[in-house]
Amino acid sequence: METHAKRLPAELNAPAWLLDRYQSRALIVGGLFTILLIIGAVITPHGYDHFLSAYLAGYVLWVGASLGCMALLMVNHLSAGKWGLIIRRVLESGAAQFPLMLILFIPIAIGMSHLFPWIPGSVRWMQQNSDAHTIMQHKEMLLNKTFFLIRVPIYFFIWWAFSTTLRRWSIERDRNPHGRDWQRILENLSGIGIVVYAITMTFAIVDWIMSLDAIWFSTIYGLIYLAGQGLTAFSICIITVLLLSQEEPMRTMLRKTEMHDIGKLLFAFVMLYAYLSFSQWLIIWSANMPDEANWYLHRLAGNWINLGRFLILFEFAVPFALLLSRRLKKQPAFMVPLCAFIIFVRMVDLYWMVEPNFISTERQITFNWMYIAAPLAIGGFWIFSFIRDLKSRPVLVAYDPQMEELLEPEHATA
Amino acid sequence: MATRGLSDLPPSQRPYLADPPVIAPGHTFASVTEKIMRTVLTGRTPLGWIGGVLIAFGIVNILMMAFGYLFWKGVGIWGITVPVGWGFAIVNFVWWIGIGHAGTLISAILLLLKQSWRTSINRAAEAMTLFAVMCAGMFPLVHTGRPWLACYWLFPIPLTMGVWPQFRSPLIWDVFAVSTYFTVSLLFWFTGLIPDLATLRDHAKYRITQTIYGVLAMGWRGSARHWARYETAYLLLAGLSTPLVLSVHTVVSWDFAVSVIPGWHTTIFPPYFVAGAIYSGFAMVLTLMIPIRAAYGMKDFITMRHLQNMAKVMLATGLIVAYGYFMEAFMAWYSGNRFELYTFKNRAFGPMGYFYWMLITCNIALPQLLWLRGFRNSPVLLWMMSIIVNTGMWLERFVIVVTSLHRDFLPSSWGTYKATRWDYATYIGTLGFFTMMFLLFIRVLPMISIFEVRALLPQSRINSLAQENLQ
Repeated sequence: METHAKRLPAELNAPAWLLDRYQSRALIVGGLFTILLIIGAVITPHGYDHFLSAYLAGYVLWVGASLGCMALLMVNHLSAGKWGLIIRRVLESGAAQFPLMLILFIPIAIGMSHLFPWIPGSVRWMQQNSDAHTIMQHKEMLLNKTFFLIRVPIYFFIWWAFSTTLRRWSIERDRNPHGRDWQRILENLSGIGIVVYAITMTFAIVDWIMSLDAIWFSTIYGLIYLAGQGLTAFSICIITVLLLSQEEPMRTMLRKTEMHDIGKLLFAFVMLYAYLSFSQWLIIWSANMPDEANWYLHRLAGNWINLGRFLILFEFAVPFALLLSRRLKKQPAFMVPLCAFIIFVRMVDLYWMVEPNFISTERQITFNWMYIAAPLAIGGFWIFSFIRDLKSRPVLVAYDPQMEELLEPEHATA
Repeated sequence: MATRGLSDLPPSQRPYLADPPVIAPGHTFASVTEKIMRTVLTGRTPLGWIGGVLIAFGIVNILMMAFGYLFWKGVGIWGITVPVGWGFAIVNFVWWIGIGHAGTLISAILLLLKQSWRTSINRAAEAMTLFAVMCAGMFPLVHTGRPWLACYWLFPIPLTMGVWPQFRSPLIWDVFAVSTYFTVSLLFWFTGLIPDLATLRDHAKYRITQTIYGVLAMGWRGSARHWARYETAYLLLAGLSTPLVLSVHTVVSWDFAVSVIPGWHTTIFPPYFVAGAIYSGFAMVLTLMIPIRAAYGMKDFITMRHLQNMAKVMLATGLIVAYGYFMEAFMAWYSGNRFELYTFKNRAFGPMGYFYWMLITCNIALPQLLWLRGFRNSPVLLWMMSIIVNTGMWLERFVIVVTSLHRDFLPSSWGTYKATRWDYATYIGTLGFFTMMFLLFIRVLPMISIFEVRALLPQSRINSLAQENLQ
């Protein structure tokens, strides 16, 4: 039968020269900003403190990118959407960065007494009043130095175990499609994985971010990060796939239909993030209780409110309005800058979440260049390692029951 | 070079084909139309249907009596007290409105997500949504005790007295959220019905049925232009309905969460209420569809694939609900706030603690059986699970409303709550109303979308793989 179907390209690896270009740039960015950060931390006034909080915000951004990739990968195995076939390998490479991120945790572990208020005798402990001391003592069972440090490798081991198994099976499946009931075992692992991810990620965020405030708590906070991680991960995937689509094999396989679908999912995450953030704000604002409202008061006082306005405008309103357009979602020249901008806004958001915890008499809220440098440094290494992983394997899955549908002319499956 | 992988496999070995098909094989356009239409255009009404309607109508009369007495005496006939000023009325309102979420989720969100399996269940699920929202709407209306005055208590009507509702209260947002939801769901449902109403018009034998279906079909002739307009309208309505699925139960959750009552005031309420709503909505779809597909011989259209997928959605949303419970408990401890901590202890181990553990059993423990493929493959077990989940979701609302209110900050203001027979009569009455409306629906309208199921048949697909998948 004569069909208009395309053929799966023989070579499923992305051309090395294309990836090399970005990989070396990423390494340069990572290295350069690391040097700057070290100099900044050592020689500028309060440099070490600024470095630590900047580093923490940047760290959570990029560990969130890996977590988001892992979660989306699991969701894709469970829901079997065709959008996932295009980005599956990208997600796998993003989720493969946990060993790197564990190493990059070391500066936080070293500087933790400068960051967290719940370490008795630390600088930030001294800044708290006696009520806060009572609450922190109550939480000591969870928030103490030893247990905190033990939890870090446990989180990373769990995330690594899930992501590496999914990734290994994905490759094995292409080599030996009939060897096992792949669909079923991938579904099973992803089903359990998504539950484990939600719980461990929430606890990690409580440990690393929520506990920066001695008193504050919010039950929705984990889900806000979940949505933020999805947003970051989708942005990274869209950028990667669109850059890869300049050349084979992605050029053949990326159809407008899937681009549109992935764009819609990004749009959904923009809304989800805004929805969860707004819910938290509305509930805390209307109850107006000191334990909770202080968190927002710190973040909306003085000039900080402008940052809040910036986030409402650029993390929600502008991407929302732009992504409504079907035409723009299919436009690589538009989507790449937009996704890069979303990652930047995520960085600003994390700065807004982290930095106001450190308001004190000697540390005025001033912007420090390290808040840009730290995410760039960590991001440089993350992207370097991510591209190295992408290069090592085909960027497309060869065997998947739905792969043939991607080769159909678009009108046939619309 | 040939495509790799799939084509050289015999169909039985392709992994996706292990899933049951969306539509049972062997149907033609004519057989689909005939099969679904027959339940409506038949002259013989099944005896079981008549019996069911009579029973349901009897229960509606209980509802009428409960309402009549309520309007005569006032809300004092209910079990509400100080401090539990919100009792069954709000519990039932939230329960019903939650059930009303599945329809629009299935029709709108699954449409946008290109999930073709939604097709055989969306019509009935949307009808269920409308009836559930009607049941829900009764409670805010009658809880005023004087519903003829409720229009200016609930709606902002400019009267010379200058009485306005409190616009900063989520309760007034509720009025708008629920009425918008009902309106859009109704439009969505009706729009989807138009091509089928035309089919009924064309096949009806009697003048009267021809006229009724003809008027409702609004002159549908099935021309290419009609279809193009129809597709656009349907997609737009789906886009409009999607945020509504989230907004309605979010606003309902704000009814509680914007207060300062421990157990109500917690930030996770919006997403976890929405997940709970979808959870109970899918449970109710299963409760209705499993018996109906057996009774009306619709197993070819509402296949095991539908039941399995709905079971999976229930498992997923149930886990989100479990996450919500867990975060509430964890943060109660983490906050170090003695009221938060006490509320949780009182909920789990206080005088009404058994409700909490029943809730955990019904909503969290037992539904974990849905992980098992064998369980998801058994209609009988799934039906039982759907009843368990519906019970669990009712208990959840009861636990949230009553245990949070009966002991708040000051021990001197503590109290208890006991529902009266009128509370139960009202609740059971709405169940009867719901059942009666649903039975009437399946008698006079096609319970499954005829034209959309026809579009699912292999004959209507260009794509050869899709064809094989369906067979």
